[in-house]
Amino acid sequence: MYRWIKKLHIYSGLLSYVGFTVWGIVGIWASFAPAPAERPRREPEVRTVAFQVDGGATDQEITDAMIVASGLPFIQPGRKPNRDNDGRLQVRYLTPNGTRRILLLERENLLRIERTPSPLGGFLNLMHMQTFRIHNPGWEVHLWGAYNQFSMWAVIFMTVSGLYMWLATRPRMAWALWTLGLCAVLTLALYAALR
Amino acid sequence: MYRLIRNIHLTLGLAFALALAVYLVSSVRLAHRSWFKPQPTVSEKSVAVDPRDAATPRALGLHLIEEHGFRGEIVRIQPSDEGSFAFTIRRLGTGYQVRYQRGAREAHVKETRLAFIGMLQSMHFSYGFWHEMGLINIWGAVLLLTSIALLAIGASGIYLWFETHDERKVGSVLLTSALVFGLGLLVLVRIQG
Repeated sequence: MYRWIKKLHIYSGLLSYVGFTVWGIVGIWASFAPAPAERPRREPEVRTVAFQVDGGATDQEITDAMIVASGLPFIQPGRKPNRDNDGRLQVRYLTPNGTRRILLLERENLLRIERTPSPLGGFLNLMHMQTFRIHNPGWEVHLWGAYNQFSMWAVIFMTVSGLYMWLATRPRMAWALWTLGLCAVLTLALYAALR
Repeated sequence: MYRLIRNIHLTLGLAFALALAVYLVSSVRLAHRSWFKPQPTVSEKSVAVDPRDAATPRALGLHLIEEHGFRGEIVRIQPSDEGSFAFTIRRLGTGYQVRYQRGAREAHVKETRLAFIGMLQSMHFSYGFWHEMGLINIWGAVLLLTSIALLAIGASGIYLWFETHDERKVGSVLLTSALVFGLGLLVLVRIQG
């Protein structure tokens, strides 16, 4: 029994290594991120592409055509039409690489494509949130979501199996008992105080 | 050396087991929302205030914190044109939405307390050291330490596996697969722009 639990503990750790390493990096990155109000505003990179509106098309058809013409990844036709404050059709969405906006400039026969990049920390933060249950248009993000979810269960298993392995081999280790007891009490006290 | 690293691995695991559990259990909730149906507890009341203590939303907020035992930080201040304002005093898991009509002798308070799993989720989303409430900053420090511990547990685990000679072959295949698969996907998503 112990031998198999140890084997599975090692294998779970090796397989989920990239997943929980990303979580650790995101935790450190988030800890030093400025307060929301103090974050620097990132200016979007802008490009335009020619786009001719079919006079008889519905908003939904135009929105679908805008998405296809933009050539942007992580989005597919089928999004509900949306207009900005000036009444212009637009598509806004969030990707792990930042926010994207496709704006129809109907009089100029142009699409304005805005790409607000996400820094590496922001990218990893968005990736660490992905699960395969979220609808992800890109297969890469979907697959990462499945891996992220696997890592979550693997770390849960490692936490439980780690405790088992400790109790099965060195249950009377005083400093280990003290570490667990003291840190558990501190965490519970913090939980109670924050509640 | 092996013994030292094994003890470090164990100590970090034990020290951060409960903090890690907060993040893991809330992750299960975030990934499988339909499995949990937490119902927050909501209650409403009126609190007597002197209008002189409520000249501004922040003044009233600080008065409620200092004199009426509302614990938390003041967020979401929403002034209104009709002589009233609203704001929230929030800590993890509990929020007080305060509405006040200028000149009135009482403020309306709606208290929302999240259920256990909602509280864990709230702790999962809390980070940083910029909060007005010191306890939230302490939880921010727990997040930072847990994150560093997670990386250290991973690194020491790799060492311990490598020193377990029986598992080197299978482990190498698994680790290489995870690195190629995981890092490959990250790069593939990142380069798509």
